[in-house]
Amino acid sequence: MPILGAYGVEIKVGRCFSQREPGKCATCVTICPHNVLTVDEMGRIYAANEQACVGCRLCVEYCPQNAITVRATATEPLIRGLWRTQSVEEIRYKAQTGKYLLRGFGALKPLPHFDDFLIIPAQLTPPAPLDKYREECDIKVVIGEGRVKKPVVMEIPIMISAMSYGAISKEAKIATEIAAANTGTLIGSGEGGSFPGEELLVHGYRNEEDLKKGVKAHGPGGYFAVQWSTGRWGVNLDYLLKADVVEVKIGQGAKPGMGGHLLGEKVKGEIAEIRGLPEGTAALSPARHLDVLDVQEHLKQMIETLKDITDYEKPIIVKLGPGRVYEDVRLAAEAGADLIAIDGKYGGTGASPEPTTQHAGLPTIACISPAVKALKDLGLYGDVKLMVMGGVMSGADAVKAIALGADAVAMSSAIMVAMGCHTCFSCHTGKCPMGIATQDPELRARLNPEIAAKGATNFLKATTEEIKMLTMLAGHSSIKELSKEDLRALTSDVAAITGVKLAGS
Amino acid sequence: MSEELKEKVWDLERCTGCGLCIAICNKDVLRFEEDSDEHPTVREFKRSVGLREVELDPCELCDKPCVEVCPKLYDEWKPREAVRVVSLKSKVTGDVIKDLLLCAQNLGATKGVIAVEVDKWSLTPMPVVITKSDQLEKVSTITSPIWVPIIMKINRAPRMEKLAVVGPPCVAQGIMRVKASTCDVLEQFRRPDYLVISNFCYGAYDHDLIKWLSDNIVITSWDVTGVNVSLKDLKLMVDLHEGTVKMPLTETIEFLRKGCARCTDFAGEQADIAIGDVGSSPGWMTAIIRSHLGELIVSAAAKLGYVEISEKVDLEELKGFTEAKKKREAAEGVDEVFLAFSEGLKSLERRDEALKRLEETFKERR
Repeated sequence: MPILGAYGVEIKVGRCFSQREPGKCATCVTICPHNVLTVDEMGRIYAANEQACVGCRLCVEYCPQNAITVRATATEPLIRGLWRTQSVEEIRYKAQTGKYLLRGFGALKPLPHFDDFLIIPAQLTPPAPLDKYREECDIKVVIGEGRVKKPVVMEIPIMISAMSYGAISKEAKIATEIAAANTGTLIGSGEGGSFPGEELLVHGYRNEEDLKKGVKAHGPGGYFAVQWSTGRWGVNLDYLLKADVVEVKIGQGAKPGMGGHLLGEKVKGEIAEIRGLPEGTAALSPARHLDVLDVQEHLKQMIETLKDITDYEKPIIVKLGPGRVYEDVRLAAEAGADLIAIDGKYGGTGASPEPTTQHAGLPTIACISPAVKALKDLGLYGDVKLMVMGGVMSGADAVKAIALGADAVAMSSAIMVAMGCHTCFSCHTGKCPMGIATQDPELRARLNPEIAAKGATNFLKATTEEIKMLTMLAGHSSIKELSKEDLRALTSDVAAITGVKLAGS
Repeated sequence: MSEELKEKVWDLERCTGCGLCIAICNKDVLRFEEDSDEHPTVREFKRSVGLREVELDPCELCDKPCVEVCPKLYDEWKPREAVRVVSLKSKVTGDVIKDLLLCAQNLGATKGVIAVEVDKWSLTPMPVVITKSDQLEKVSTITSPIWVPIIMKINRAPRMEKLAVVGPPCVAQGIMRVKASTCDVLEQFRRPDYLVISNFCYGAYDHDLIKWLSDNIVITSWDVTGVNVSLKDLKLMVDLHEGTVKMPLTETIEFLRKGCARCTDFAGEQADIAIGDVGSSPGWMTAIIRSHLGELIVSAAAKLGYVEISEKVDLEELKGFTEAKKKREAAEGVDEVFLAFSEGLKSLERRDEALKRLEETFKERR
């Protein structure tokens, strides 16, 4: 039994029926065996014995007027231990529906994160710190240099990772694409195919006319990575040809080992058309590439085919979920990938089963070292680029990921927040109040692509400045110079996981 | 809601719509919906709790006062003995009931009145609680042939002492049920000092009647200033700005509430005073006084000059009307058989009982 006073019981005076008609109802009084609630002389209900509340919340459930609130007076783990409301309600949900929970956004569990490192600033020991305000810092990342005819030069080391058209609205897609054009970076299409004119937006043109005139409306122009996913929604020759990069998706951090999931509510109109699905049908992608039976042979063949189709011009990305990273990266690199992207446990999603999101995979920081080792063992480190994503939300996170051995990072949840996402974790409902993760015309109208694009652009610019600042204070003039020596781990666990020295050593 | 109320009253179309169950509902779950007001409906209670959708049965934890008060769930009604039957003529306001109430209010015999006020524009009747005599004088009509759940207002006057209620006989029955109840939550309504005045009643009309009237006899509804029923002549009296139009009641029968068709109480058998035009000469109203309190009020009103009193009443006419309505008991017989059969469907043992019941009913009717 919880300690006295563990819960606070509040009766909303405006709603309680006994306030309007004294002497009536008292359902809560009847149902509470601990006599927490009482009827006063006037016939009105009040929480006379609030201290005795055990927190069962039965009164809340039974109140016909929805007039009672019960709140824990301290943080839940202190009072309820393992049996937090979230866990209890999850069990009840399963008991009622016979289904597991489905949720958007990504893992909410505390895991080792970039926050568990600190960056070592340069002082007297060379290299001396560089001046962020007066000196230059090289932050460009080139993908496929010396490997393909048209390497991709990312102006900033941050890719906007794949969010499919369907998972997010057309307005949100347009906004991210403008932001990519403004900052000159790479943006993924996601697995939902591509709408007409999408590549123009990424390249900085508003329409065909702009392209003919050669006038870019937005920034230097970005690069478009189309996804060759397990679902192959909307995939055709045009789709592959309009890309600058082809991304082969093997898995993702939020649900490694499972295919993409777009709920039926979001499959309508153009989305249904592009994906080639009847409206309202859930788009459930296969868990693996069904044409890859023998990994060593067939993955190689697949990448070879894609390179052949794109005339050996375009780099190929292989995107992996956090699994057996060392072996997976080796296989992907041997198969011919030009960039290997690893999506860690904090990776975002539009909809994913709760157990997968919370319990399958590895923390992002644990994936980097084995990936670097795999590439080094093959002698491809630096040649084949390594990208890290999943929980990267600031310049500091990016610098730490790069110091651990990555060449670049990717983010999308943070970009969504910059566009206006209010992080309510209900992407799966299709009722995104900000018009981002929804296909409801009324809700979509709430998102102005121009304004959202400005937010995303500003965020990327600020993040880039953060990256420069932190790189230079560590005494480096290029992000390529960052290494594990520039980091210290705050916990021995994180030190052991990543091989970074413990702070103070 | 109690299943009993649904099965034995609403489903059998016996609800007269007095509104008492709504007024005393312990959890505020009953409502008259705009589109279906033949009987109250139960509000749905669906709610998100945690991650679940919860459907709540608010009646689960309730003493069900609705069952205790519903006049239709009691079948041993016996008329209260009439103390005196007299003819009354209004001398103050033109309406005998209003005069009696005014007298009672001025003498302090009542502290408030639950009655009907009619909205002049739409002719929609609304239940009101009146506590001042000048307010009482201003009220245009105190009873209405158009249906209104008058007694719903009782929950706006809980614990009020010496409350007068004016309404059709079903309201008087309801008050009797409240007085006889044992349920704890009804304690605040269980007062011995109610003064109940009933009008003679052949049934209440739906509000659609007004629309029908304006479609059939007048061009606009504002032409109609009032609608009354003269039971004596069996005419609907429609007051217009230019006079009164009389229509035979038979023409308006389709607007009668379904529940009223099953009711057998014509002369307010449970009221303290029942008042109507049957049995009196034009301009006079018959008053059947059934209690000591009623007798006190009437004699006081006569002595203080609120009303004129006469002993001249055509008892034969009154008896005729009362018995005509009593014939509807046949319908109650059918109800009983119906109920017996619906019980019979649930268990085999009861099936024989139901058949026996059917046989008896047929014999009686023959």
